[in-house]
Amino acid sequence: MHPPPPPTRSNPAPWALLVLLAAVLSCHPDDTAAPLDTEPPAVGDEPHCDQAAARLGYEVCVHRVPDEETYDRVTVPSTAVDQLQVGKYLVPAVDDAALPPLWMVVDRFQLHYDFLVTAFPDSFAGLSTTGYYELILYPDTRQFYAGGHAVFLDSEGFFYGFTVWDDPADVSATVTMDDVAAAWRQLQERFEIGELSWVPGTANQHDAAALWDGAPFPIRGLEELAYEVYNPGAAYGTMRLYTLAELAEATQQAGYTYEDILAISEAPTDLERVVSGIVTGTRQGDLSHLNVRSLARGTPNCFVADPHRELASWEGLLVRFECGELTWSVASATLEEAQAWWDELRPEPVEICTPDTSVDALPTLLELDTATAEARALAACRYGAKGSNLAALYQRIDSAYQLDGFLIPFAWYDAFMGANRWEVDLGQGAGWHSFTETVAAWHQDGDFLSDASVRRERLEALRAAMLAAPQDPALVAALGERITAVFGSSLAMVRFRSSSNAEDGLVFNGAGLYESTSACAADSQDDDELGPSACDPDKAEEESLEEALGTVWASLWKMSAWDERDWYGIDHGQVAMGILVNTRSKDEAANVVAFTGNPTAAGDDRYLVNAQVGELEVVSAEAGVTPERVLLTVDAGEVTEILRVEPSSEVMAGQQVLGDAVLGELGALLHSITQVYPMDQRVPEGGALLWDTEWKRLSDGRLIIKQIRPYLRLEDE
Amino acid sequence: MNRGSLSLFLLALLACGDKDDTAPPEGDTDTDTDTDTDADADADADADTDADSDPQWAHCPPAVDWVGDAAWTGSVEVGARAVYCGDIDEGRTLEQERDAKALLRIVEGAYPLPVVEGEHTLALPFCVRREDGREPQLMDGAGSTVVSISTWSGSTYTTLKGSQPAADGGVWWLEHSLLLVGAEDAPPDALALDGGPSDPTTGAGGEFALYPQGGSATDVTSTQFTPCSDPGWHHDVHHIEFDGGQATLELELGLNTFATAPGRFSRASGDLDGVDFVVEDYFQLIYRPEHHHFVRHFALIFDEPIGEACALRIEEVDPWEGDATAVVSIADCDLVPLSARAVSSEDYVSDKYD
Repeated sequence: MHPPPPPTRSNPAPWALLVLLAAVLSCHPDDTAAPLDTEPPAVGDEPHCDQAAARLGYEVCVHRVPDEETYDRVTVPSTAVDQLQVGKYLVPAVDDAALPPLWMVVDRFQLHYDFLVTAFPDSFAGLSTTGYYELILYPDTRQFYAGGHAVFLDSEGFFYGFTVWDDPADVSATVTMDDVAAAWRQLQERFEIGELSWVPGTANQHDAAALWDGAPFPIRGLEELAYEVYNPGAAYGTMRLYTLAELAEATQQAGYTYEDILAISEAPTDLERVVSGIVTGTRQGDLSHLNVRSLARGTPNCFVADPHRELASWEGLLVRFECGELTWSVASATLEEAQAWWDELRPEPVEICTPDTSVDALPTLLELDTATAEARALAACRYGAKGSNLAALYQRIDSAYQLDGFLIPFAWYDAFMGANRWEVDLGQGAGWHSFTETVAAWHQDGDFLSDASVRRERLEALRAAMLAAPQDPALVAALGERITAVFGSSLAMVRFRSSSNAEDGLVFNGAGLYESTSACAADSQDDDELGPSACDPDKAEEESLEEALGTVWASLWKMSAWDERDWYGIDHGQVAMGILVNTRSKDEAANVVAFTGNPTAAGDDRYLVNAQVGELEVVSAEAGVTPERVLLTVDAGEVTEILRVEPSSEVMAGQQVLGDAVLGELGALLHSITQVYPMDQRVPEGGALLWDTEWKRLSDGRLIIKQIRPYLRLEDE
Repeated sequence: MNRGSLSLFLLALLACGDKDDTAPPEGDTDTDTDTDTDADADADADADTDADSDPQWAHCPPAVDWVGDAAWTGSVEVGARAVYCGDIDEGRTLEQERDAKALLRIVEGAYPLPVVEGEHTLALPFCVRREDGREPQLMDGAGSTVVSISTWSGSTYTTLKGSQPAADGGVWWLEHSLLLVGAEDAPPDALALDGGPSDPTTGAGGEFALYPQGGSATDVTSTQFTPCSDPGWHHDVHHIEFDGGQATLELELGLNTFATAPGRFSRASGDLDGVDFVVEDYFQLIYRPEHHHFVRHFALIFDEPIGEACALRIEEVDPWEGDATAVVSIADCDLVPLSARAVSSEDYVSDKYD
């Protein structure tokens, strides 16, 4: 093998080096030796570059840049369209580094490596490339910060900038804010012709810098996402600007309606009420409940960076706001235009089935009769859509992808509502009335129907009363026995999941409207109410069956649920809540939402998968937490292409929530579901049926499907 | 072949490397070139930009699909050879390098450009080619660009930075950075895009990046497009001998002036288990450098499998080390290693230091 190549094409010939070396060696030592025993030189006056120049016979570096002439000497023209002059620098990362800060003369040396071994052989002769990497790239071994510097050009004009290198393939080696600050201080102190800005140079550095707060140095070139659309379209309404705290307060006071467009500083986990349009100042997951409901309602939804600054002048005004494919726009609107939009927006009333309260059995998901369309319709009217949908699916797919579970019918909810009474004024003075009587009376009351604040107050009172009301001991006992039989022990923690007749339909999606909760039969069977839970010592409080029943049933009367149903014209007098009881997963590897098509793009039949690590939510994520987004091309039941649209915000660069093998398995499963799962509702013309599914990847690697519901994608503009 | 004769062979290889080989072909001439990225045996190079006659580019939109304002006073003149190659990235794996491979063609034509500061609606007709079997991307409606104007040392620099949608059934974005240069207080000169590097005198030129919806140009998996060849690049040749074969790997590399240099893995030849191979197709030659190309990783996909080998991986090539460092393995068509081959020698020559 040849020895390492010589430094650069512009270096002097070897004979010239020998002549120069001889000349240097013949000099008086005092002429070339660093004055180590004397006062340290002033900043920028270090002798190292001069000494190297004396040895080599040409300028190799400078320790400060006092003027533009010097800058021109240490740089060369760039061919990049965003840089004019480029060069390289080196500054110490440790106190005992062999060299002080310097700018290389890059017309002589393109590589730091060449520069070091040639200009400073006393310190770096024999340096290997591996040793060089250790010297500059890795935090544990770094002695120098090294990088490029340039006259950059961006939309704000020219500026002096520099990069700091690390290993872009190793996220753990990514420079920190302190690293960049240390490099910047040393450079800026010696750079007298202008302000130096740091320019992130790798994807990892961009990701890291996006999270830095209060960097002591200017940062340029950090391309922050300014806009992203989740549901494009134009909305009319009054522009309301809220922080999350203000949104919570406005929600409490029913301070906004479908006639408002909300610009919220951060993406909320969900939005309680129907609005005309949503703008958030942090990004959303496109399969979040917030967006799935926006898609279903046809209300525009997009991310705009710093929306309060952008929209400040429109606050309180009636506007037309458009979430476009590329960017957003806002303009004044007339009341006539707005009224026409609101009228058009409101959907045709949705009919739901009348609850059948004639059965009180607790069938497992495999026992429920779902054999025919008639049986499935009856099941939905007895046990709710979520539970009966899952039963129909489980009876048609491999048991390896299932959770154990059984169903609690509407009959028990109906009995609870009829049996429990509370003191309430239903228009004729305070008196004792059942919950059923209360709900019926309120829906004849103009104040309740027209005044959101009155409605909120009353519904919250009802829910509190429902949570406090006693449960039928016969039901609690039956549930304890059923849990023991189905899950093997009364100590098995289970999930009580809402399963109403007003959700998971083709037109009325109802994603995220109601509540689910954990429950432990043993906690109801002991004689105390003291935690921790007998089913999970990590739960400080008991998770009784009584509390779980109350929580799920009461969620039918959440303000957000009522408003959403009302928007779709659903008869509140017909709603009822069943419960799907199934295995609680713990320590899962990932949560996954997958559609058998792309709900955000008409005509796109690729499966859209959103996945998030661990127990983090996909459907109601916290602000700034975005899932891994993947599009799967499926042909003849097999995944033929995996397009990784975006990584999760919660994993390190290069990591994946779901690997290709799991995505292949998931894609094949989704396809098989489209083949076997029965669709009993008619898909309207101009619509495409997708299946909206929720999965967990368990800690043992298994995929489990926990929910399925139809989703209507409109194919026509 | 002993070391002396091998070195002579490599030097001869370098010496006979006609520099014209790295230049895009002229017009309709069907000269085979180093920029040939065809997967088939067609001698017509991919960088032959006669889109009308090259079925590989048949999906390209016509020039009339340009979106903008005919009254704009700036302009870009796109030549017949304006094809750019997806560049290498030291932050990627070999598999990611393969996924990111793409060829970008800006459709030939003269297009007005906005040169007034602010945001403008703009879309350049373009199309992208991917590895055989992968859906190509092409323009999909109007995009936007933001014009900013700065002056420096007597020149006016007009920058257009923006993006436009692309589609292959899903949504992609092609980001552009165009730099037009002119005298101070004068309109910028017309920008020329011919597939080559930026104007060495003024810096005027264009850069492009392709990424899927939700990503960004800075993502490690996005594709940055650079010239497929550059007269200023040097030619490196590695020769690796290993159990059952040998491989000669040729690289064209730019200068490491600011960061890791751009470049291209341009040719591989040799034999494996008695079967000769020559690979020149852009999509079959995969290369990932480490910082400044000090350590080099290669994969090449054969035109036809040789035995069970669909591909050859040659990794950890470090020409700066005294001993052979290469790790060679045969691989399947997904680049998954099947078995290792012991390396017996490794050699390297470069015309960088001539």
